[in-house]
Amino acid sequence: MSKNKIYYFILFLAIFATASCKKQLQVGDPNDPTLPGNVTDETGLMALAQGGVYINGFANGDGWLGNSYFSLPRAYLELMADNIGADASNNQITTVGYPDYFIKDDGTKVINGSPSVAILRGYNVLGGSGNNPLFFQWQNMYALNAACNEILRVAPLIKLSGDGATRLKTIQAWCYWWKGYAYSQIGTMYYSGLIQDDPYNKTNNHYLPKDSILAQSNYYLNLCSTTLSAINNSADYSTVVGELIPDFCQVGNGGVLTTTMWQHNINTLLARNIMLNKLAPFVNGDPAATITKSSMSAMSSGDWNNVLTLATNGIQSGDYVFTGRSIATNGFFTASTGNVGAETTGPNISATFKIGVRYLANFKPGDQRFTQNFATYSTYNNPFYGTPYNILDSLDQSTTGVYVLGNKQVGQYEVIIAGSLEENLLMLAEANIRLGNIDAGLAFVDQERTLQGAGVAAVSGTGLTLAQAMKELTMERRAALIFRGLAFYDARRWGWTYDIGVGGGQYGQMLYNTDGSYDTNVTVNYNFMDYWDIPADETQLNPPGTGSSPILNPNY
Amino acid sequence: MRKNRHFLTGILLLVTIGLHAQTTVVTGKVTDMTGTPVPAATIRIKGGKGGTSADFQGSFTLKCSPNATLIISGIGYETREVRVTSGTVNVSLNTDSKSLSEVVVTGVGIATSKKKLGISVESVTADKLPPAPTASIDQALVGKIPGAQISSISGNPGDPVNIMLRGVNTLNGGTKPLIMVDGLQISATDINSLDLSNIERVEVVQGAASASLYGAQGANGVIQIFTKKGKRGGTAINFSSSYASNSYINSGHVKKAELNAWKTDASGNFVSTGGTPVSFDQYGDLNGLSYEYGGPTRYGILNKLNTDSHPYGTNLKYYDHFKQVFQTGNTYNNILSISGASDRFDFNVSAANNHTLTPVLKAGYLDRSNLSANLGVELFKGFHLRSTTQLIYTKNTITPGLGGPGGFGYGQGNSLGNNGNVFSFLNTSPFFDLNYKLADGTHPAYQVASFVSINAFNPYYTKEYANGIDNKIDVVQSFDADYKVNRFVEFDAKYGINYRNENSRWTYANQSGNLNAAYQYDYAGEFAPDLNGEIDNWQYNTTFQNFIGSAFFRTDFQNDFHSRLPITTATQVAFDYRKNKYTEYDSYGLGLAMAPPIDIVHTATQAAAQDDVVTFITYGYLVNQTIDFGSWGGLAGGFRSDFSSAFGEGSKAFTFPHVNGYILPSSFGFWSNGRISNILSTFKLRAAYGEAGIQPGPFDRYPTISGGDLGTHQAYSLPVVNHNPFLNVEVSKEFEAGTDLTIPVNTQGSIFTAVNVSFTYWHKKSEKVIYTVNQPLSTGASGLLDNAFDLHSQGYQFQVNTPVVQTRNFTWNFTTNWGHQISMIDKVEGGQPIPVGPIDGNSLYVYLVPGYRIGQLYGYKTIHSFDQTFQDGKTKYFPNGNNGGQYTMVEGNVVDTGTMAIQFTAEKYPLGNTDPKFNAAFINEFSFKNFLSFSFQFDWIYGSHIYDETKEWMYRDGIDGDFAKTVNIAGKVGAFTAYRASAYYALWGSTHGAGNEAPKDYFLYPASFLRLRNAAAAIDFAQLYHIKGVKRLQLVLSGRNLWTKTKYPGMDPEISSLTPNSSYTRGVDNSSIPNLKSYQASVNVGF
Repeated sequence: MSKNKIYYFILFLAIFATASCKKQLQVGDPNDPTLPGNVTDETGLMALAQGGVYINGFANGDGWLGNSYFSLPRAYLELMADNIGADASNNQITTVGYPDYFIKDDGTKVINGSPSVAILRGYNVLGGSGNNPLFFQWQNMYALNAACNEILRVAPLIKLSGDGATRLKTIQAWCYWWKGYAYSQIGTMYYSGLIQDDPYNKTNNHYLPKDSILAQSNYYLNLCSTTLSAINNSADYSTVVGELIPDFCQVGNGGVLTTTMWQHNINTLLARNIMLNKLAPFVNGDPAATITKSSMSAMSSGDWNNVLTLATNGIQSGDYVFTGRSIATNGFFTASTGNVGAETTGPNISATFKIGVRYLANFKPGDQRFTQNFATYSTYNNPFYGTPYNILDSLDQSTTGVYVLGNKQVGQYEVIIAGSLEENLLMLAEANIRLGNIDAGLAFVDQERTLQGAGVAAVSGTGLTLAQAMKELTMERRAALIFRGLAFYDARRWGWTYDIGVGGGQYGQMLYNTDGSYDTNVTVNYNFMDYWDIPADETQLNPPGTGSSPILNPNY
Repeated sequence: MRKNRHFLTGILLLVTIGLHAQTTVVTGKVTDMTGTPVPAATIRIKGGKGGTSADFQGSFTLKCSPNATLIISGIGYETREVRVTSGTVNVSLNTDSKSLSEVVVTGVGIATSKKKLGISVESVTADKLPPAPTASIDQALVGKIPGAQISSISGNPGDPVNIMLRGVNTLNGGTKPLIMVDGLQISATDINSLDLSNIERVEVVQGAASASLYGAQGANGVIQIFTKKGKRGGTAINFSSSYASNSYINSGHVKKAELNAWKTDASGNFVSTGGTPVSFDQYGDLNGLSYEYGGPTRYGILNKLNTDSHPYGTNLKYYDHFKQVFQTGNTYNNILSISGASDRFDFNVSAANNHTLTPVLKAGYLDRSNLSANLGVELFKGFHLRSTTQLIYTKNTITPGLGGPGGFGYGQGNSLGNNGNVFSFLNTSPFFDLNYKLADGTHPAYQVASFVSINAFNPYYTKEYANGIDNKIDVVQSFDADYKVNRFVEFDAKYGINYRNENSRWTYANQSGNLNAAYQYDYAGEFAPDLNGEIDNWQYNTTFQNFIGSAFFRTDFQNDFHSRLPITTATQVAFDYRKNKYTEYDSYGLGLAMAPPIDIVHTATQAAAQDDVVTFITYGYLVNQTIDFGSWGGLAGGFRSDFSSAFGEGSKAFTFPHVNGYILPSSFGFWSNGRISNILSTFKLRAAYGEAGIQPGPFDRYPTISGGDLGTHQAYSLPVVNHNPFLNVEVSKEFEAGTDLTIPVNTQGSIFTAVNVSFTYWHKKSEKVIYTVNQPLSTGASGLLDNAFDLHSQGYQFQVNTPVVQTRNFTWNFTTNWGHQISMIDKVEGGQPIPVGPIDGNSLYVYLVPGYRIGQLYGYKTIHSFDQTFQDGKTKYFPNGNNGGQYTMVEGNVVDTGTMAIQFTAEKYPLGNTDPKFNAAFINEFSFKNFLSFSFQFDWIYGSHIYDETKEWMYRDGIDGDFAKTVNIAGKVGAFTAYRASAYYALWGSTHGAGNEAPKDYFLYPASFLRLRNAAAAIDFAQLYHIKGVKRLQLVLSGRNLWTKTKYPGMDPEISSLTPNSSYTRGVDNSSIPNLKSYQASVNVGF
């Protein structure tokens, strides 16, 4: 090779290298889809409409104790309702539901050095999510809301197959429903919230009072209902709903809802928005108790009538509801830790949460749900949360006919995401009782107990007083609706979680002592914040604009 | 007699030539001591004009007067004067032992003597690298590079070291420098896979000023490794074999408390509240345990009446879990190499094997075999080809959970082994025997005693039910074609391909038959939702290519242009292309049969967890110009322009300029001839400025959504963190200045002849540093990945070297290396502090806050004084002082006598930086005659801190050894559990709940240490007894990490459990595997 040839060869190499490289630099990310690349047709849109709800709404950000919106975020509601207890230091689960003080049978007053309100406020700092219980619901529900905003924005731009108009309406109804659900969860939990309906998810700093957030929930739920009413092509509708709800959730009470069933679900949620957010105190057996300082107003008879009307048109027997289930792979939560029920199941020593004796006191003697679901094979000792009870694993309602409280087996436990028939029946019961139709109300309690296979004697027609009827109602509502994201709100509106000084507290409670004995007349002063402060992860990065509703609950 | 004859002939010839001619043609050859040619050696005629330089074979031809004296010099060699006595002059040059004469190439483009550098380049030759039992270069470099913080953070076989050369340049990119082998980057192969015995020399340039030639990947510095080449002087055969015994360091004497506060009866038997002796049940769990006071609850530990005063030994025994888990392992190393060279060909071929048995339960081994070949040939005059090959096969059978390889992203390197179950005995109460067997002979998974041992998991169970096998093949192949056209022009093309294929397979047996696991629903696994076992397949593949084409133009004004100016210039123009392709495919099968065949086909369900391709391409152009003015000084400057698939929208280049220069005043006549040379015989000043970058992650600039399946339906979800599509490269701008000097002390003597000092100060600013800044949650996302931070770092480094003794028979050489560096945060986008964490899976956070150092741990402070105020500086925690005796001082902490609880602040503070104030090494080498040598190295890390979370976890159940220590609290003396446990539980005036596991400075300990890193004694019998035909027969006894002096109470002050080479999460001992203490014996034989 001559020298010149080598020079030419090198020159050629240099030119070749320069020219060929630049194109190569656009490597993209072949491993993940993109909005402009993948959400361009019906398949992509349906994938986002499903994942936006189940992954953004119920899975992302929840890998702390458990792995979904139904594990840790929902567990806080059960802990603060004193249905379950906890010992582990993680995520403040052992402190958030611990009362300010309790008075034992012998008069000993056990004072908590770190009250729940102080804990919540102390740990409400930017990036403190692991220890900040306030973080999770806000994070999940605004992620759900933002995903729906995105789906609503892109859906009309995509050509849909079949009866495209029906398919679009169905997808829009899906988003309206979940936005209504998200605002319902926010408005029921936090003192203030943000209405964030921007199609590009540009947020705002106009914090609004919870009632405005609940009103926005109602707006979207009603919009969902009217959108559903306008659908008359049931084949395209069913196809779309069948694809939106994960196939493994279309079992048990989950399935492809008809537009009517869905509207029933909407009415139950609308009724819930009213009932959970107004006071109906039943403290120390007194149906006329009042709470003197609260972030809520009291239920009026008009409110009860509204609840009655909505619940009457609410979830009916045979209606499908919105449920979640585990699956061995490709699920949105796991069987053994994906929901608070599973996390309370198994030996109480090793289970994350321990089923409380004060919860178990709500079962009447002979209740099959108690007999079948619980065993006493290990004892967990704690000054307040101690219990000799364990939730048995692997119970199967289809063979026993008895409601299952917890299950760690893949696909067996049914998580109720929104309303359920039981909740609707018990709303009918409470509204009737509060409106003076005691036996009509108790009949719904009986109906609900039968549904869950309780096997206890009917209470309707037994001549119960209002106070006795309310006791039956509160006991049953607590027993039946555990792990459904309702328990704290019930304890709140019944006045129990309020400070004894303002008329709250729980009386005549059980306590399991470390020597195996029980106290049976314990007074508990929980004194929990009724509506939570806004998490600092929002307020520090998005400080409130002028005229905003308080970001910290001013009543605490 | 023969010598004399030659001498006489020479004289005769000389006389004859002198009589017959005025000029003569001399031909000759310049070689080094080993006979290897010294290419480009300069030959000048003393006192006359003209000269020449040798070609690549060291050959030269020169016209001169018959009795002229030639001055022959070569870079890196001592200059020699030779009188012409015949037509042939063969000269052998000695290598220059003075460090400033070393030749370096890293960071300078063209091989240059250290004397002529405007930047600081550190180099270590093979003989200075200790025979670490790991046989890995990263371990061997610890302490050797002044300024660099190289720490061995884990003693798990195969784990990487932490390398921080100069401060923090990036937050996401880590501190790991660019690794090069023989001029080309290696990106696929872990540095610790390279064969230590095959390494000739290592060069390190530490910061942007010196690494600017490497453009968009140079900001973290460069470590360049040069492999051994064959040398002339006959075929050399070397064989080496060694055995080492390894056990874990426990310099803090970590153990669990041998005393306890459990309820006992009169005979010392442990009993329940009702007086029944405690008993183990069929699950291996303990029932009936109770505190003496406070009953059988977790918070009984806070009952102030309880003291650790009861010994074990009755119905409950004490088991030393550290001894049960940390056993003694061993290492075998075997190396065979053959090398040689002729005029036009050289070769070096070697085979090495390293076999290490893990000391963790002896649960598997790491076995690495290296096959290396370095072949060079001169095809025609001036044209050289070289091929360098390393084939590496690594087999690792260490159990997953006990340090085994595998897991998401493991194939990208820089990961610790999966060690999650090693320390899961930390919460196991000492009365449990980890080796306890259930009735069927299997181990229990979860050994619990109702309210203690809650977080326990038995590593023996992991060993029993899990096993791993990891096979890795690395290929490091490079070709180099170099054509030296003439003395002006040289072309060089290098191409390297670095390939790694790794497959890790984890098998978790079906555990449903284990009584304990089935009852407690606690099992070993990765993806399995139940006890039915699984097989996980992790497949990683990396192909990395690097092409560098360079053209060099050299001029020498005196020789080439007959100028009187002693100017030499060198110009480099280069094109550099790099491409990395990483693929990972992870799949698993769930539900194993109880009987063989155990494979994925026979599992109940199968799924893929990841199927990723990550491609990264970058290329750049480099122009570098150097001008040297004799030996007095020089200047260099240039720039590099880089394109990348990861920044600048994939089409905008970024340009990194650099300039540096030096002046050597001691080379001027007034100095070298003046009296000042008696004080400073060599004095050089240098300064450099340069910019270099860190590439963003390959896909950082691409906004995506998440894909996956829900059941059988594809599901997309919006990202939690959004990406800025206009992301730019992170840029580090560094200035460094330094001096190299020699102080002659005792020039005539043999003791302390001189002191050589090299000092460098540096300061850098890092801009556009990429990190995720928080977004309000109402946007639906929680963060945005952006060029969000500005940082700055500064530090200094120096090396002092002195030949302490140099006599004919005995030499003692001493070197010390020092470095200091700090890194600060200047600016954060949006002005928000960024909390990062939990960095440990528990509750420990790092806050990235403007104005603070990087890596500040945040937490609560122990109150040490009654004057402690809140952060407002006014509000006192104890307005009434000791409040009439309610508070007292215990071990320097304010303690509430009512609860015996230590008092902590209610507010969080930066608890201090964990990085050391300086790190230093002291290296001594002794040799006696040519057969005996002895060396040792001490490393001193000063001012570092470690958050001892390992200890904090053992505080949870009161089983740390501290609990047996007595204290005096207001006159009462005892090992009060309430006092000690309050460090874990107490906060905000509460004695339990709120503060559990909260980060507190109580657990942040000074971790300064002095460590005997290496010690070796060697005797060479071949030299001692002059054994014929054997060049070397050496016995070496060596040790590593033999002795540590520290106040750190954990096992090892050097470890960190967090991501290796992380920029901001450092200095946390959260169940970290300590370093190994090794004793090694080796035999080296050479022919």
